[in-house]
Amino acid sequence: MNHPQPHDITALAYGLVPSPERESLLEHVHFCAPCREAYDLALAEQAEVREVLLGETRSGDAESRALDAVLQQLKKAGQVQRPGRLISLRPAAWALQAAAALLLAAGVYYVAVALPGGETPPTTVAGGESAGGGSVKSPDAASLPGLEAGGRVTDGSVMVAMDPEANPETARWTRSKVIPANVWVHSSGSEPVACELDNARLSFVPDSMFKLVPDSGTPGQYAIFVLRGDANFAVKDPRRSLTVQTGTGDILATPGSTFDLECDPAFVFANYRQRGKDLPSPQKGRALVRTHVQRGDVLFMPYGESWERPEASRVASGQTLEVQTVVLDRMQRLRAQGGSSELEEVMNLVERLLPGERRKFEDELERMRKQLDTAQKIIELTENVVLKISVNGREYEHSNGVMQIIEGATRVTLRVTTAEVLGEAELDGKKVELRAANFEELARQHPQLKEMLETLSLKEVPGGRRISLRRIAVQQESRQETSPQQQR
Amino acid sequence: MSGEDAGEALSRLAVLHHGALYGYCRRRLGRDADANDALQETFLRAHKYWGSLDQSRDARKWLFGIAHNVCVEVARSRARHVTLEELPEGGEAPSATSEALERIAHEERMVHIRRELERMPDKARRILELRFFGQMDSKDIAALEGMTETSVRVTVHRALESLREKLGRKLGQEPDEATGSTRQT
Repeated sequence: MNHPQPHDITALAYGLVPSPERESLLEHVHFCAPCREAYDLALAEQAEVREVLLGETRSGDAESRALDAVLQQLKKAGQVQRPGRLISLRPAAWALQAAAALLLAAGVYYVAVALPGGETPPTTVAGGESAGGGSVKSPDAASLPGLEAGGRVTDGSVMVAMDPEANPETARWTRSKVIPANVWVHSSGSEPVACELDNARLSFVPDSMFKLVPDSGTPGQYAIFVLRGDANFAVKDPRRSLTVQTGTGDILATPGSTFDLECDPAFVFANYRQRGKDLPSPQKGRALVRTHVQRGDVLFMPYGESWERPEASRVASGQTLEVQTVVLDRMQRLRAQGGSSELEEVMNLVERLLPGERRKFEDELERMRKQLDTAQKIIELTENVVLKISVNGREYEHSNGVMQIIEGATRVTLRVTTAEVLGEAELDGKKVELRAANFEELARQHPQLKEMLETLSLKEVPGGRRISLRRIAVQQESRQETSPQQQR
Repeated sequence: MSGEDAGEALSRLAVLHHGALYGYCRRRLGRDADANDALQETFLRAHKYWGSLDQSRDARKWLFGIAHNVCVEVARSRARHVTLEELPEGGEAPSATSEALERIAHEERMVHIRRELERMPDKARRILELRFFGQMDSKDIAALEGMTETSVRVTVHRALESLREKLGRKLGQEPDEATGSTRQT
């Protein structure tokens, strides 16, 4: 076995290795005990080095002052205003602050909304009781017309995006003590931020990003989607659970539980689209890194295919769950429909999926065309994203990599995973489980599976054999390396 | 792109990334006042060169590139000013509980690591700072520092090997109270 260089292992642990090399190294490390040991040590080391480097420079209000100075400079340079800025209440606004606090006690939020001219007139945005029953200390809160308040800030400072649709990179921000639902919230100060929801207390480290979203499982309640940062959650309602969403999966916290959450600070906003339409990948969402349960217990449910490891999904008091996302292969989807008349459609699809690579698929498509008669054949290969999950050191894997082939009455769905059940096939109207153990036997019994099974590779791993689509990926890689000129 | 657009866009970026950028400048320059100046200079330059930013590029990394250059210039113009922090004294009375001992051991370890990081070759430390503050990988750092990716990784690896040697044990391990041996954390 060719081992990576020691400096590559160190670089991997320190997050210096970009994709796709990162995934390739992670895969090696996963299966190679000596490299794994070196990697684990370097990983623990980098956590301490990181703590030292980052920890000593968060200096009180200095960051806030520096931000103010920068915004002033930019204003001078471009004659623009701080985006949605409304803080720094002028002395004349002090009386307004006191008045608003009184009104708040009466159950009315008075807030200030930034206007182009820098005016901050009070605007009534919501009547009724304040969330959690506490008092908002300052009326320097912004609210966004049409958005309901999902919670409030009890300590620290947040900025909220003024547009529910906006990506955090492009949103206009405004400071707020009220946390509206469905907009990004950024803990922008240099101190941790504490928030109160109806049924939970949250605290986030500086520079965290989160959003309150309606919890589909519990009407009238909010789930918290954490995009990045470290947080602590306390579910204060003894009867209701709390859902926390991350780019990797949902956490369902039982009533009364308390837990910490660490989400990847390197999350790239620009690639985030919508949960459900997006899958974890190095670029798109390896958000959840770790959760530690202090009290009660939580359930972790990764996104993607169903999670068949209940013993791993429950994280009990005192336990820590760690998640590492690995993209083993990038695969494309190819769909062909029966009959030679469909060939052009397929070619067009290939052209769209892999621009400029149509020629590379011509031979394969010609072969498929010959096979296709009235049958329908679908090869659906998605990104093979594997979550490596450990609960107190015990490892599990969860993959949303799915391969599906439908050919006549034969329907095969394969999930690429180290779990014993690899997938299922519908063969001649009967459902058959595909396991590593019966893999070769199935290929003998069902010749129609032979071709598909041959494209897969088996690897011996602790606890059994692992099926992977490596060969397909290698084929794709070699295709990509071949230039059109070379092919001609 | 108009100056107004640049100002608005940079204001948003400043709100989002000022913490990390400030931390990086503070780390590089050692003083809040210098970090403050460097951050302002960074955004002024960003404003000036906004039109040259390839919109497909990660703006955060671009800003870190500018901040990096600003810090290098400031550091060149004066001797680097970094004060090694003293070991914390006094504070809470030591408790005999294992939790308290662990905490003290952890704090001491952090102080040692900090001290050794300050003594680390400047280039290696810069790479680590760009990694942790700027979220940059070896490719980004190589481009910024005029190095190859391999030399970025080798530089860090060697510096960390030396760090481990000086600390007399592997980082990420802490002494076992009973045996004095180490265990992985």
